[in-house]
Amino acid sequence: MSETAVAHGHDHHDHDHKPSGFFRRWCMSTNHKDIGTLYLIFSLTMLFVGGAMALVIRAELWQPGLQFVDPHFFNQMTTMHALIMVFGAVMPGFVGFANWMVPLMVGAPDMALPRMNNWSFWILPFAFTILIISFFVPGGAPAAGWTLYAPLTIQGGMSVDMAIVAIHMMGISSIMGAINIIVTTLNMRAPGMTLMKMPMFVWTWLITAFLLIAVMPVFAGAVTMLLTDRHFGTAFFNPAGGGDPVLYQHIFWFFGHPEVYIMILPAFGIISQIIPTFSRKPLFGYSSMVFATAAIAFLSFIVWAHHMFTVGMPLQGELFFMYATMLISVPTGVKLFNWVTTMWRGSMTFETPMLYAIGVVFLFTMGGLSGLMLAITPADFQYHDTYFVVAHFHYVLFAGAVMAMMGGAFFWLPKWTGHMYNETLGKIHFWLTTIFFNITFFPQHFLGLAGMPRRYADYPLQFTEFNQWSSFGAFGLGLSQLLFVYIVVSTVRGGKKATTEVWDNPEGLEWTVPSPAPFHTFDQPPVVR
Amino acid sequence: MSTTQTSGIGLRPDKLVIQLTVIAVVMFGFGYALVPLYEAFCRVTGFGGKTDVIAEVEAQQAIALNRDVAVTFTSHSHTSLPWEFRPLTKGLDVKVGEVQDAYFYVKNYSNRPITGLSTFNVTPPRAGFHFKKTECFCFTQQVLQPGEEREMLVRFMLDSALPEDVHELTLSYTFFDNEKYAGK
Repeated sequence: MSETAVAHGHDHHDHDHKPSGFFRRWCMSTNHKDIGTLYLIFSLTMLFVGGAMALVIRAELWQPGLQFVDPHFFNQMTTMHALIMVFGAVMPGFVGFANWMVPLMVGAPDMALPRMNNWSFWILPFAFTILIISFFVPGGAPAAGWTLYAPLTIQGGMSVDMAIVAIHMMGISSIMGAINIIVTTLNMRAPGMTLMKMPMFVWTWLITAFLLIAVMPVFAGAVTMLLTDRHFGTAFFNPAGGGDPVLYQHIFWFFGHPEVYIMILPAFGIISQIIPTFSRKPLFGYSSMVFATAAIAFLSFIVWAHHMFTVGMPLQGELFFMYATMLISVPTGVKLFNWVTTMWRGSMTFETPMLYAIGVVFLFTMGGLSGLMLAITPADFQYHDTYFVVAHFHYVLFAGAVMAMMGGAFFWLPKWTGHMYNETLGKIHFWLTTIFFNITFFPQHFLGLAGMPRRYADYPLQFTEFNQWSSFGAFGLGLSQLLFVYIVVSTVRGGKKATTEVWDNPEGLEWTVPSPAPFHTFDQPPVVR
Repeated sequence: MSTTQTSGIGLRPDKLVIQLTVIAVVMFGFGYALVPLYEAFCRVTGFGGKTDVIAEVEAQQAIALNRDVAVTFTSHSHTSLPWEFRPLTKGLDVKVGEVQDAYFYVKNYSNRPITGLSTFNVTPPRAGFHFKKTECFCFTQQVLQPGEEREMLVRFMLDSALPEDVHELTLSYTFFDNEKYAGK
C-alpha cells in the first residue's frame, strides 16, 4: 500500500489531467467517474426509449378496441419496454451510481479493475443495439413477455435469438461490474474503514453484487437452454421432445426473484444516505440495516415460485412459498421503520433529494403491501397476471428504484458537476413525477381487482375510465421527465457553485473532496477513525 | 494505475477475482443442474402429476382393496401432428391395488411416416405419485407409417397409499410431433 502511494507521488501535480480527445476520454476510459457518467447517461437514454414504448402501450389502451397498433406489435411493446427498463435503465443506472460513489465512499482512488470496468460498460450499447434492431427482422421484436416463457419462445422468430445474445452480453457486463464492485469494496477501503463503518449504499451494493454473481449466470443458462432447444435439438422445455415448460419458469424465477432485489437494494442504499443527511441525524439502526439487507438477499433465493402459484403446485409448495414470501416483509419492515425513526425528531429540511427519499419510503411501502396481498396464495389466483400485478411492480420499481435514482441524482449532482441544481425546478419535478405516477398506476390496482388481464391490446368497455386515468397520467409522467433532463443539463452547464460539503454537515468521505470531484481522488488514502 | 490493496479483509485482489469468477461459472452450471434436480424432485414427490413406474411382478403381488376410484382417460394430439388419438377405454372403476388395462387408439392421417412422442399427466397432481404403471407407450418414440393405425396399452395400478379423499382421477395423454428429435 505504501509503495503504491509513493509510486503515485510523482504525478501529483497533474491531478486533474483528463485524457485529451473525445474517443480517448470516453471510449477508452478507465476512470470510475467517467465510466459512472457513461452508465448514467446510458441509463437515462434507455429510460426514454423504454418510456416511449410505455406511451405506445398507454396510447393504445386509451380506449377499447384497436386504434394505433396491432396486437402483435402491442406485445412487442410490452416485452421490449420491460427488457429495456430492467436491463437497460434500472440495472445500469445503479451500476453508474456504484461507479461514481463506491470508490469515493470507501476512500479508494478508483475501481479495483479499471480496464474491466471500461469493458463492462461498452458491452452494453452493443447489447442494446442488437436488442433494438430486432424490431426490424422478420416477425418483429420478441413479443412473449420479458420473462421469455418457453415453449412460446421456442416458436418465435429470429428476434428471440437476438434477445438471447443481448441477454448474454448484458449478463457478462453485469457480472463483471459486480466482480469489480466486490473487489473494490473488500480490498480498497481506506485504512480504518471496517466493514461495519461502510456507508449503507456501499453495503447494499456489496450484497447486490453477490446476488448478481449468483443469479445472472443462472439466467444465462436458462436462455442458453432456450437457444439450444430452438436450434440444436435439445428438449429442455419442449414437451414434444420430453421437456417440461414449467421447468423454464422455475429456472427463470430462480433468477427473477433475486433480480428484483438487485433492482431495489441499491435504491435502499441511496435512501439510507439521503434521509440521515436531511434529518441531520445518523442513520438509525445501522447494523440492523446491514443484517436486514443480507436477510432480504438470502430470502430472495427461496421465494421464486410465488411468481407461478397458478402452474399447479402441490399445496405444500404453495404454503411454503407463501410463508417464505411473507417473511421478507420482516427485514423490509425493519428498514422502513429505521428510515422513519431516523427522521423522527430530526431537524428535517425538504430539499429535492429528501422529497424523493420520503416519496420512495411512502410509495414503496404501498408497493410492498400490494406485494403482501399477492403473496397470499388463494388471493393470488385472482390477481395473477392482472393489472394488479402491473400496479404492484411499478410501485416498487418506478416509485422504488427509479425515484430513488432520481433522488440520488439530485443528491450527488452538485458533487458530480460542481453546481447546485435549481431547487425550485427540482421540487416541481418531484411533485409532477409523484402525482402523475399515482394517476398512472393507482387506478391499475382497481383494474386488476376487477379482472383486467395484463398484456392485452384491448379490453372490455367497463374498464375504459380507469384506463383513461392511467393513460393520462402516463403521458404526464413521461413529459415530466423532460424537465429532469433540462435540470441535469443546465446543472452541468452552470449554476450556483457547490461547496465541498454541498449539504449541511453531511456524513461520508465523498463530501471531503472538492466539488466537482476532481478526476483523480484519494491518491493518498484518507484515514477513517 | 496500480490499485493494490489499501485495507480490507486481506485477500489479494487477483485471488478474489478468480474466486468470484469461479462462483459465476459454477452458478451457470447450477442453472443446468436444476434440470436433473427438478426431474428428481418431481419423481420423488410426484410434483406436477408425474406418475411412477413399477415392475409387473410387483404389481401382481399387490393386494386389491375394496376401495373404488373412478379413472377417466383423455387424450389429445398436438395441432402440429396430423394424428387421431383417442382413448378406447373412456373410464374405469378401479379398485386400489388392482392391475388394470386401458387402450388407446392412434392413427396417422398424413401421407408420410411421422415420429410422435406422448407425455402424460395425472390430475389431481397429488394422486400422480400413486399411479403406478407397468406398461406404457409414453415417452418412447412411436413411428407411424402413412395411414397406419395402432392400439396402445397402458397397464397400471393405484397403490394403497393413494390419499383417502381421492375418489376420481384423470389420466391425460398428449401426442407431440417428435420429428425434430427423431433418431435421438
